[in-house]
Amino acid sequence: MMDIETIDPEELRDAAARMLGDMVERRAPYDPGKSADRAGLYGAMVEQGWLLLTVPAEMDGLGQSFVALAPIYEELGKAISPVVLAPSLAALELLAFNPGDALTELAAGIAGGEARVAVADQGSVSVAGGTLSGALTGVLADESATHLLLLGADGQAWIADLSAASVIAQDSWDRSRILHDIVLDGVAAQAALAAPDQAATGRVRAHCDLAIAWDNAGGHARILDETLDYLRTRKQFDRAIGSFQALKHRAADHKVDLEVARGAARNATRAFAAGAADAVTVAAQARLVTETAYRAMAEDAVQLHGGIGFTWEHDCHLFLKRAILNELLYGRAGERRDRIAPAVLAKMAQGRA
Amino acid sequence: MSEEPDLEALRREVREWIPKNVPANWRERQAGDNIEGFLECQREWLAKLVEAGYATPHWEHEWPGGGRSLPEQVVIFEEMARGDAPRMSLFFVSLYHAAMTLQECGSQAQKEKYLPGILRGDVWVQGFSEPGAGSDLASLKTRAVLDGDHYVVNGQKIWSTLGHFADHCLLLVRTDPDAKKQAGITFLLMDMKTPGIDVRPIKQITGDEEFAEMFLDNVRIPVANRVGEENKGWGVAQVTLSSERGLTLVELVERLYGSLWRLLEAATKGGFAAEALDVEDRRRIVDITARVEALRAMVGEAMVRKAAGNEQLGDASILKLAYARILRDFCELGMKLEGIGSQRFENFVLGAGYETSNWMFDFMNSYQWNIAGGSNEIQRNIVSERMLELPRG
Repeated sequence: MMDIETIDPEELRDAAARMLGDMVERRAPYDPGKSADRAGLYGAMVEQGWLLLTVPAEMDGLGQSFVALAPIYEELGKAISPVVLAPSLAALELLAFNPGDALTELAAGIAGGEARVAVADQGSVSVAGGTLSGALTGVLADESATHLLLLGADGQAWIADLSAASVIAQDSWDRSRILHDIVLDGVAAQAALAAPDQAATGRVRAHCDLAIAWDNAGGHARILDETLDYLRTRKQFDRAIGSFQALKHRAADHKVDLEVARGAARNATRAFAAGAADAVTVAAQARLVTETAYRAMAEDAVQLHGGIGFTWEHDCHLFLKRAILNELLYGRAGERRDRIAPAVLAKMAQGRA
Repeated sequence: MSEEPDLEALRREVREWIPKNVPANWRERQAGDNIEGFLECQREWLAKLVEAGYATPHWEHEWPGGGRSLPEQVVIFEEMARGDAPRMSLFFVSLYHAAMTLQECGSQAQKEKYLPGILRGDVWVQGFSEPGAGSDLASLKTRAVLDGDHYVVNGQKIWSTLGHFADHCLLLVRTDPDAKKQAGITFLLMDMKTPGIDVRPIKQITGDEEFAEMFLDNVRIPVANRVGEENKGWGVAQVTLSSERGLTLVELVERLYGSLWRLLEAATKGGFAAEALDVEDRRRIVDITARVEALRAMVGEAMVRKAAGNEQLGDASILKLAYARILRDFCELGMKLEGIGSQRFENFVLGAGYETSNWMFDFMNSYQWNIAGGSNEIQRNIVSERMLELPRG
């Protein structure tokens, strides 16, 4: 195997921050007469090579681990990016297992920027004779998603071409993200894996969890910063309101929670990149820690900004809506806790030496 | 994460050493109504650690096991926690606060006089806080007046850890009442056998007597026992307060991580199976576990930064606040999981840390961390003013 050079994640972060700073106008989806240039942004991401980062070297990719993606996901969260990359990049995780031809082909499309994926759990979709039938709701995907990756509970995964399905973009409260209702009526599907593999599908879910965890951490950091700016400059009773202990201590608590959240995300990223046995559990846990912290921050930002934070004109609600949507993606928080509880309890029991 | 080979070797060495040397039945011997057992056990443990060089890895080269790097010290603390060895409760101030102050700021004569005694088990306490000087430490009022070659000291000190067993005290006194508060403070070493010292243990909400107050009535302390110059004691005190370099948290967080199973034990004490756990309780366990693991990762990263000299302003406050919250939540969850059983009084173990499975005791004891060593409120001031650059009030 050829030598793979590790790309410095901080360089990727700087490049991502610059590009997103130039291209993302976060209010565009909210302001009359404007809309986000999603196609342009996606094209720029492809051009920057982000879709190639975790493609294996033998498929002409850059062979990087999730460590390279983490800063990009974090910057996407800071910018409240209107483009979602995670489902497509998560699909690439399956390449490390026993991919079928359909997956290899899809991966080439993802790397080239032509294919964009929506990931969903099977739910009530039925599989018969190589076709999928049923309805999915609230599926996160880019507006021009081309493929569906459907994850079964038993380690099966299917790829379906969305052009054969009814895909309707729904208006979301969070206008930076687009949720879709998808109706499949006997849509042809191919197995993504040569054999069902729970480890493989678990890794796709964990990738999504971790991407959301970093999105949370990024959004949390940005809205904390902007709230601090307000606390430093807004004056009442002839003094900056940030000098009031009741407010500054709240800010300190949000900072502590942010640092714990980042710690969780970094820890999970290392475990995921190293292929640790508990990586899937740790990724789900990192998402839980970050989402709780982000939502508390985004909620309190509205309050700390007072009346202006309650207006459409101000940006507080952009973060609040993103934080709440992030918390509800891919299953309710309680269900996600229940899913990993057996693994968590088993690990705890081992500690009783 | 893979580790440097020499760190890995040290880790193996300590890991093998602990089970052979930890005082047998230390939990029983350190039980709350058996002070003698606690003292004896701690002394036995210190002697073992000194012999192996694990008590003083942070001291200078010429001392047993001295001259170890910070990452090596971290390994020793981690392994002590993992091996469920007793904490160094009785000697921690001696080995860290006293020794580091002497090594960095003491005279040659002071080092020669006091450092060997620390290895033999002299107990030191801190005489910093006063009833009127807690968070605002620099407002301390205990007065020292020069009389020939002695200072005559009058005043009251409080929250001296295990002060009732102490041989020596690191004492902050006011020598110039007219100077700005930090500028009138002097640092003295006080022999606890000097006439005029009255030490009274403080009974805490747990019933334990871990702290003491000290009443000083015309206590004569030789000028030779002054550390640094007169009225320059505040700077010396900063050295004392930063002497443990975050190692306490390394140990405490490792112990917390190693105690997660105790939640399961609490929940299943009445003979319940883990599978029968209430859904909400299972979810709470998932959350607290996630936060403890995150905290553990943070502490590890912070120590790497510290070793590389990249420590950031406020790092220590963030960690202290995070640990305080998570520890309290952990103890509270254990108490609730055990249910009414947690309310039956059971004797506690001295110096066992915050996780003893005596859940009501642990829960109440966890408040200590929220107050001692700079209260949560002071830490929030540090984070918000120095790190987040919010204006001072």
